Amino acid sequence: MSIVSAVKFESIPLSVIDDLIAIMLEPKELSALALTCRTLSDLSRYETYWKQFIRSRIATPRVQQFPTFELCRSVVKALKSSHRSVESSNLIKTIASFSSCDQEEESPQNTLVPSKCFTEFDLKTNSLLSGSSKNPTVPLPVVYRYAQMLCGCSGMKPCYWSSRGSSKGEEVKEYLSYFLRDGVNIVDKFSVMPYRAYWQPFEPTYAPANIRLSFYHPCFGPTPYFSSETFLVENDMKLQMFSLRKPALFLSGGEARVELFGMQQKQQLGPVIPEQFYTCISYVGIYGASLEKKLSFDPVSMKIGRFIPVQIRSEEENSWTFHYVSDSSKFKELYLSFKSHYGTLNDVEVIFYDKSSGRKIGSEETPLEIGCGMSERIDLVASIDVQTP
Amino acid sequence: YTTRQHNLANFSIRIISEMVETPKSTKTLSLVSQEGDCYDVPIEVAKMSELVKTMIDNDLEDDAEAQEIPLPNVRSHTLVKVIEFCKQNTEDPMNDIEKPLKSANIHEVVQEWYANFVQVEQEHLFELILAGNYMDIKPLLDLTCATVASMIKGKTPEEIRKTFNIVNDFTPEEEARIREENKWCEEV
Repeated sequence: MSIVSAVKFESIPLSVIDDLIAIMLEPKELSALALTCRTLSDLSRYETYWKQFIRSRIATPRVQQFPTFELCRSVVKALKSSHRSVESSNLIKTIASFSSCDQEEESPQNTLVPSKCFTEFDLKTNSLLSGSSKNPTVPLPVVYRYAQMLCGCSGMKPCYWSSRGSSKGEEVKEYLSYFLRDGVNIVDKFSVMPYRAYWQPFEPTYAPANIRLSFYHPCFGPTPYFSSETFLVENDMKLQMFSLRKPALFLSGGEARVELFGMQQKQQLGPVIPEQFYTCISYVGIYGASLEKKLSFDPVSMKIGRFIPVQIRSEEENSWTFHYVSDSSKFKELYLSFKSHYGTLNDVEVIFYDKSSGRKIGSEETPLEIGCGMSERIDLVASIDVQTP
Repeated sequence: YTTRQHNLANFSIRIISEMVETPKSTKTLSLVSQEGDCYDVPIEVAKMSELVKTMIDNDLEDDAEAQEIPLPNVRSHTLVKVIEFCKQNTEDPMNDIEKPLKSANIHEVVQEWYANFVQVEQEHLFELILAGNYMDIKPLLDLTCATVASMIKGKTPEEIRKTFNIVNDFTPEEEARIREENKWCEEV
């Protein structure tokens, strides 16, 4: 009688666990499996898993490569912190460009700050926070008009951006483009507040019909590397939040563009002034979080890489210098930048050695190739041979 | 188009289609298990296995005896199940399994026949995985792996170890370090 040995979990080849079983799990289940024993402990860093995760959960631009596991971890950590406060997660720095503008004072700069007539207006008591009109018998439109008079937007100080006028409403496309915080950012929401002119007859709101968020970068030419779904805009002066279906990666050096399609409102100021459609926006916000500083985008190589701090000790000079290298760039660049401290490049022979192993660092090698791509820091020793002419 | 031209066209089409169409083979193969047991399987069913496909001798005459395909890595009781799976998959193909798994209940993920197929002892399930891997039968591998994944879903590391009799060979420090490193996975 032959003894049938029980087939155990350990007999399943790792390639099957990696390629099939792990892919079926959510990240926290993958992490639980990785915590069961030593053989499986690397499972939570498995590249294929995170590549598939990014593909399905995060909108990423078509760039050369990124450290998948690091990127996922960075995005998750960043987004978790961004849920703390809406205002602190607003990534907008300044205006980059815009499609058109009506009067000079109705500039896109006004969209960077919420309108005073809106923020000073207390929605609970329907009166102004500054207190002078806390009379409940005063009709609402009168209060609004007063707020806008105090704000200045009904006079010479518009708190909003206005597009150029247009005779056709539906076909118009306008946009407002912004520079966001430096580095690589992850964006998950954006908001817009259309402007309502309570001081005009019929108190019109000049909202666009639809809105969309797109990201542009010179590396990709005139086509956006990301475009969100299109959202409907309510024709009212209130802060409208739009959540992206998938959070999207934004590369600094480019623009985040809020695209405004169609105009809902004509300006009707009597028989003398021609009736035209306009879009007027009081405020725009783009929300998310910045990824860890050590992840950044290099437009020359079109790569999102991990930047590793490097400390180089020069024995001859008895000094230390600090640099950053990208995990996937050749050490050649580090050699060049180090040599430039010591006179002309031709006269200086420099060789780097890894401080702990003594291994020579070739200029054609990359940190990833020599195995320190995941290090927190690289320590090198430089041997310098200055050839005197 | 006259009636005569129409008939001529139809006739030509029939001739061409008879020349081009490959008739469904009624040949069978004889799959041989580790213990030496032989199982006659229609060739179209056996071809679900990429391994078997590569071993088929296409030059054999139609009326020759069924070719023997040795499968020394597969025991009889597993081979029988594998053949059952392949037969069913030819008749009613298994639906694609969405990744990641939406539910820990395999009945909610695949058709009833397939969900019942994997209601077996754990060791037998692992044998089916090994057989599916060795014989390179993707749907069988997908189903059995999804089943194991469904047994992992929602469990803590300790519960997973208990389910599969995995030995914890971490030192307490190692375990704490990995737990800390992976904490962010809980927040996804």
